[in-house]
Amino acid sequence: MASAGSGDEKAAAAAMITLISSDNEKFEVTEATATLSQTIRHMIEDGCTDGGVPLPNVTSKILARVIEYCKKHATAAAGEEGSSSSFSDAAFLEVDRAFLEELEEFDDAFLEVDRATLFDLILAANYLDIKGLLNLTCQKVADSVKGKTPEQIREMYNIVNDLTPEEEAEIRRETQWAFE
Amino acid sequence: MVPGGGKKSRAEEDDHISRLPDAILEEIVSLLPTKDGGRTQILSSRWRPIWRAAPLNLDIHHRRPFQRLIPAGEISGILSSHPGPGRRFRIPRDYLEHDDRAAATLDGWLRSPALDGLQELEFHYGDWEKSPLPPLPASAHRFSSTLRVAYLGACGFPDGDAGALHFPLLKQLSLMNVGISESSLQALLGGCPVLQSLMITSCIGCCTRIRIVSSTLRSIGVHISWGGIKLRQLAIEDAPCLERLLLFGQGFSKKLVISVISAPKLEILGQLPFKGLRVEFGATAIQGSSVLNSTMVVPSVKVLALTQKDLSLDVVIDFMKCFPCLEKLYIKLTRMYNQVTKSTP
Repeated sequence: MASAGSGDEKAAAAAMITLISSDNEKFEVTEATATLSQTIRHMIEDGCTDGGVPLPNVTSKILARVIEYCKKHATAAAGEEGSSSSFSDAAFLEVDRAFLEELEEFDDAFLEVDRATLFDLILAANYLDIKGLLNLTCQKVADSVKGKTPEQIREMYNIVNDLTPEEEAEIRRETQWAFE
Repeated sequence: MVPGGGKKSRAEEDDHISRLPDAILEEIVSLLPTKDGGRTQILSSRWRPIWRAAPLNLDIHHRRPFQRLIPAGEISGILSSHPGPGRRFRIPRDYLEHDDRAAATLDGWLRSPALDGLQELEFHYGDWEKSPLPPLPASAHRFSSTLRVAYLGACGFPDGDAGALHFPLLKQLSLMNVGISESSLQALLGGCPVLQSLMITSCIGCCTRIRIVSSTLRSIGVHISWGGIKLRQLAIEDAPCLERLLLFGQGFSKKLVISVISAPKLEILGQLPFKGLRVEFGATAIQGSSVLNSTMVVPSVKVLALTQKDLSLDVVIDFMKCFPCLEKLYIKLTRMYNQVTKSTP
């Protein structure tokens, strides 16, 4: 919210960074947007962003989505580290829900993607070190797994069970509390 | 990436969670409720070691609809099946409430290597009318350099102890029904150099006055329910980053005064109770949800929540004089169940 003074904002608006996707597409973004990525922040600090930042692990399709996320969250820098389940935050939100509702709506809509895209976003967030995006996307996967049986999870995520019945029995014995 | 010869389509492979590196799978597992996390070990041989490699998330407070209750008697078993480190340890009040040796039980759990490097701790001893209240377990001190979130319920801070506490990473602190003196609270807050949010719930032992001097706090919450309220003054003396001052509960007495001396970024204030509680900004004074004096305007406040019996234009105008830059005004009508009216001036 009130983090950057107007002077800083002007300076940030002037500084543009070019990001180059694996398929050679160029994206111009403000420094404020780009530095949500710790990886890019470090590159800027080291002065190696002239001529653009090549991101060989990120396709243009995914990079466009990542930039969309960063733009939105750079302007609403309030929540930073995104420890979303923290109890006191939940209480604090009661008074002014509207303030964060918009951001939540954006995040929900942002996550309306197929599974392959979701995994690509996770990998990109991991590579670019964007904590909020990594947390958001991993939480989406975690939410989809919650309350499901192992069989349901395997089916949902194409996991082949290669454990022997003996190994399965051993796991059940070691962590009996999880299977009751 | 495509396995030799076979035209197993790329799209099909993209769909497989096994594309994700172990570190990410660990992240996902540590976000799961405790039981769901433990069960992922049985998915496949790749998944088997993930739960143990991921920081333990022992959180009994998971919300609907996936609530899987874990009896208190199983906590030791869970702790002994994980090598650590710990991400979160949260247990509800009723886990210690009927335990005569609550402090020793908790101390035993917190000693477990599974919780090494714990980042989030939440517990409540249960009975807060006990005197003296049991202290923070000695074993909790080993997390002081790693804790980011702490919710401490019904524990006592004997004078002299609080000054020894230092939480260099703590961002959120919630104190509920704790026994602490004014000087100990001051010392405790002084030991939290990056604290961003502070929640104070119900009576705080013998502490009648709280002084806030913090260059990092962004939110302060006070929750007071009916009953023995000893708090008389909350003085926000110097809080340059404070954005939210939030009030919860119905037990605000006339004797409680919140003085905002310096909080230039305070944007969100409320919900002011219908009666009782005085809030002062310099000469400007608000008692309950009516303005007594609006000599000093407070331009920083943009969101205000009030409680009213009837909607009155005069009251709204009074508040607009105090807070000329108001963007949102929430008015809760007390007699009508749950009705909230919102207006955007």
